[in-house]
Amino acid sequence: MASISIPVDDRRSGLAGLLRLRGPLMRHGLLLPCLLFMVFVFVWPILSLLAKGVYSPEVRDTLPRTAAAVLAWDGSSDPPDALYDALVADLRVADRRDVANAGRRLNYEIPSYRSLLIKTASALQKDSAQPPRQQLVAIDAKWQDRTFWTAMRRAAPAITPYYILKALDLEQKDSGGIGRVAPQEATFVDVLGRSLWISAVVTAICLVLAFPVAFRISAASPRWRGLLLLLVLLPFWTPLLVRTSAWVVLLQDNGIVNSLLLWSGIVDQPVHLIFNRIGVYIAFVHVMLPFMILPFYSVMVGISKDYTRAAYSLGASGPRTFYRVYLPLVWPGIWSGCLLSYVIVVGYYITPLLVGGSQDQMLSYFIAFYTKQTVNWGLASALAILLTTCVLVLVGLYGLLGRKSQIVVKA
Amino acid sequence: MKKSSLAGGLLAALILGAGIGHAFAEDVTVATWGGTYTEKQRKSIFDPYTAKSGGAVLDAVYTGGLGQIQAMIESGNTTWDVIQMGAPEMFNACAQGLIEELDTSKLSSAADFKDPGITKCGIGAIGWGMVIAYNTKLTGDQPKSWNDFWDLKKYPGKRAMKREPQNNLEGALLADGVAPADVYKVLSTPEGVDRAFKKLDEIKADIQWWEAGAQPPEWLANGGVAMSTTFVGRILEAQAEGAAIKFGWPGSLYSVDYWAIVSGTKKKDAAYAFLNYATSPEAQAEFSKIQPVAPVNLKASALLSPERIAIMPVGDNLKDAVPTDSSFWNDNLEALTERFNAWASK
Amino acid sequence: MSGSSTHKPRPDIWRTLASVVTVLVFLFLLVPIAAVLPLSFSSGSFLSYPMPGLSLRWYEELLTNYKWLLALKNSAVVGVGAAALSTVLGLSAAIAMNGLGPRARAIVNGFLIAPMVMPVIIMAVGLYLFLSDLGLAGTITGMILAHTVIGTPYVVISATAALQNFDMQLIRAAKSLGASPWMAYRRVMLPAIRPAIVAGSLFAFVASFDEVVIVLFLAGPGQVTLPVRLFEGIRDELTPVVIAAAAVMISISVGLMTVIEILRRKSVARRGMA
Repeated sequence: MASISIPVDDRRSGLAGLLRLRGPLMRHGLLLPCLLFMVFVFVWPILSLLAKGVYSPEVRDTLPRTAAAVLAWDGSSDPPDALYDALVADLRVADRRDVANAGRRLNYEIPSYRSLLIKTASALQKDSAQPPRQQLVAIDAKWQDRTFWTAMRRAAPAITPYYILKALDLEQKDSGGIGRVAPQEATFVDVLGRSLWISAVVTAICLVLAFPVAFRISAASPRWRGLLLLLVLLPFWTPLLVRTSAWVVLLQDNGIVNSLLLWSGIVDQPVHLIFNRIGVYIAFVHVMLPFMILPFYSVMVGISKDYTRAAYSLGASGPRTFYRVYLPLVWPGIWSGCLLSYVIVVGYYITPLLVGGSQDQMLSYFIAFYTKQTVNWGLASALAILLTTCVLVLVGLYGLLGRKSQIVVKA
Repeated sequence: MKKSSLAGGLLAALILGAGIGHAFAEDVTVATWGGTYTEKQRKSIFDPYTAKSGGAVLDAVYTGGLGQIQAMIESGNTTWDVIQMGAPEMFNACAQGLIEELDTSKLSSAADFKDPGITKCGIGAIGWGMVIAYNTKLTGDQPKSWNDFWDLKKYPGKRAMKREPQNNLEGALLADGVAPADVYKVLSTPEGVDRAFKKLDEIKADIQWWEAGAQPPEWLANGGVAMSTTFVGRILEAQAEGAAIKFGWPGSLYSVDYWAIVSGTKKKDAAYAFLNYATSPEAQAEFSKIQPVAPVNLKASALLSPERIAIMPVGDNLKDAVPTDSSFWNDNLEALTERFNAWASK
Repeated sequence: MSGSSTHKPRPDIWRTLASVVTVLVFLFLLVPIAAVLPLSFSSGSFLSYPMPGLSLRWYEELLTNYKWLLALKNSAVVGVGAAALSTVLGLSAAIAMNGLGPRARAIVNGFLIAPMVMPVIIMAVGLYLFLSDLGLAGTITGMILAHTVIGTPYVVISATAALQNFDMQLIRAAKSLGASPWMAYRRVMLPAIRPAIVAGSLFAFVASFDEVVIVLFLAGPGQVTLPVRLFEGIRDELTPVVIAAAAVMISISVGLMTVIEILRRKSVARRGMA
């Protein structure tokens, strides 16, 4: 971290001469491996993940004739025979695993659709002289129900708004319009709001604590400064899981903190400090403080005391000097520290998972959950799109405010 | 100097690690529930299998759900060969072709298993019971039922439940007065689901969710929670360590976990060899001797002492227990998980 | 607030307040870690004070249990592999970037350090699906590739900073004395920025050594690393062996951090000389 804080100086261009000698091939040649690597192992995986949030071709690929027929149907009249013909033709030749995949997608529209599809596919293995419609209805009367066909109609296109809508607690209604999901199913708007809120609280607490600490370190004598910085770096380089496990042990109901509180008589009942929001805040602040202190320190230590001294000698009062001289000077560092910390917290997974309760899980938890537990990659991707958007907006803000704050400092 | 000591450390680590895992050609990777549970399987099933056949057993942690298997199979890169899974997931995976249909002619113990102990894709691994356990210091008078689990006045303190809809919705309905035999009938209706969630609302603020089997005994032992749903085995371990924890059988839920072979495994023969050993009466009895789960092989009980059988989810212990309905969960797991997530995160 | 008492004869309450907050923050940062470490010497198996007695049984468990040893080995292999690859990629990119105009450089730099702000979970899921397609999920190679993405920004930042302070005249001088361009780089530039490169690769190693989310997604049973083992331990068997493993991890991380700090000071001193 210490080396990150070295200020960037663009003006040096001694290399220009050298590069003329080495030629553009060498210049770009050296850049190429790293860029290619990043494109293939960073950008491509993320883009293809995000694409899954809108691209879901399972039904179209497994049941191509049905998909075409159901899209040709108007969705409100009685399902025509052509639909039944197409479905029987598709299911007769479809691979079992593909049917399961298409069934999974349809199950999001109507629970039990997958069982229906799998059951139908295996029943169709036997030859029958009946016409397709009677055959399907004989297997399960649900095939008479128009809602199963409208659900098929929603799932048939390869590009689907379903997951994005779902990630915003919205859905396509049978009538075709878009509306909110039933209140007992709404989850993700809450989760998004919660992620943003938790990040804001953690950043605010860290700001209030890190500012005086960074100030104190920057004002200390060089020897002390080195030692104090080391004390900040020590927890910074203590593996995250070690710190998290420490909090789990400390904050339990009969953990060290509660024992001290009980012993001192401050409380007469153990206080619940973990598996709830309090635990999440404590552990997060512990993780993020060094992320704030270090950039704060790096701007503060660079500010010559001459400025503030000059302000004093011109008759400015303490607070006035602080607001008019010191604060504008450290402003860029504060902004970048806060935004960096906010961006990191908003995407965190491990800390809330281990010290939070079910009401403290953030977007990352649900991305992981839908990837690994329920294999709903589309929804996981849609949530990833949501999270990436947040991060991009914040990084954009960072760039914008960073430029603005430099202007403020210059003025 | 620093370089060489780092390199030395790495070298040492490499040498230490080299002996692990790949010593035999016929090794097999078994995905199972992790923690001390896996350690005990290693002692009673994996190691004896290795000693007998020469094939090593690598274990992987399976955390439920089908995501891990799905990803492996879709990528054609199957790293697991055998898996132990719960009944609903097993039926689900079977229907989706994620696990192989078993060839009973290759299973030496097939005749010792009776339906539902053996199915198209799974052969019984253990019979488990999920019970209500409680910290005796905090609850004093012995709580007996789901009613007591819901009675925050009589037995104050946090409740712990597994973060999933299975078993919890059943428990809620039982606490709400539904007869054990009707639980799934009620739960199959939208009104029944609403009723279960409404009942859960009553204690929601006091629930601490667990995800790993080791958490309930840890929390019960340290007094963080007063009562918890939990598997019997973990409780007995904690009792052996002197923790003030007890449990009761009435109202418990029970089911079977199955061994299955992951589709597309390159080591089918090794997988069958492992299954043959793991489903033998001896292996099942040995495991039940150190983990209080019921053997599914019908010949295994004869190898166990009556005292041991008394602490297993079998016979009289299941008198007032509810068998979980795997076909219900097979159909509704995803939808109810959604609903449960939405509910729990609010 | 000037930070200099000569101009402010009366005691500055803000400064005192800052000192008090600083002390409290340091206690908050350090005490929790210090408070749990002794539990690794407990003879009991629950994680609470008072300990029933002292023993080394949990360290013994750590050193004899094949799972922890395997995790240690995997962490070392993945960390070294990722650090090496990050160093090669990051260093060559940093050298090339030095020749770009300020605008192009800012863009390339922003692109190369983007993994630092991208939520790890998104990288983890993306890489999980991507590497599964390539058949590299559940392999050490896949994990090294993934961790190289995380490690490269550290090398880029560290090397870029050092290169900006390197006087390019020296290269020209070497060439005018008849050195080939490659020679000039190897004999003049590399030694000057070596501490920064080593620090960058150590950063990359520690970043990999500390990383848990990506490994949670990518690792098969044979590839579990130390942090993931610790993660399983916290959730699955919260015994003092977890704290013993933590103590080992702290020693490794802090040891490497000390090396980085020494190197940083060295390079600062070198810069001072130039």
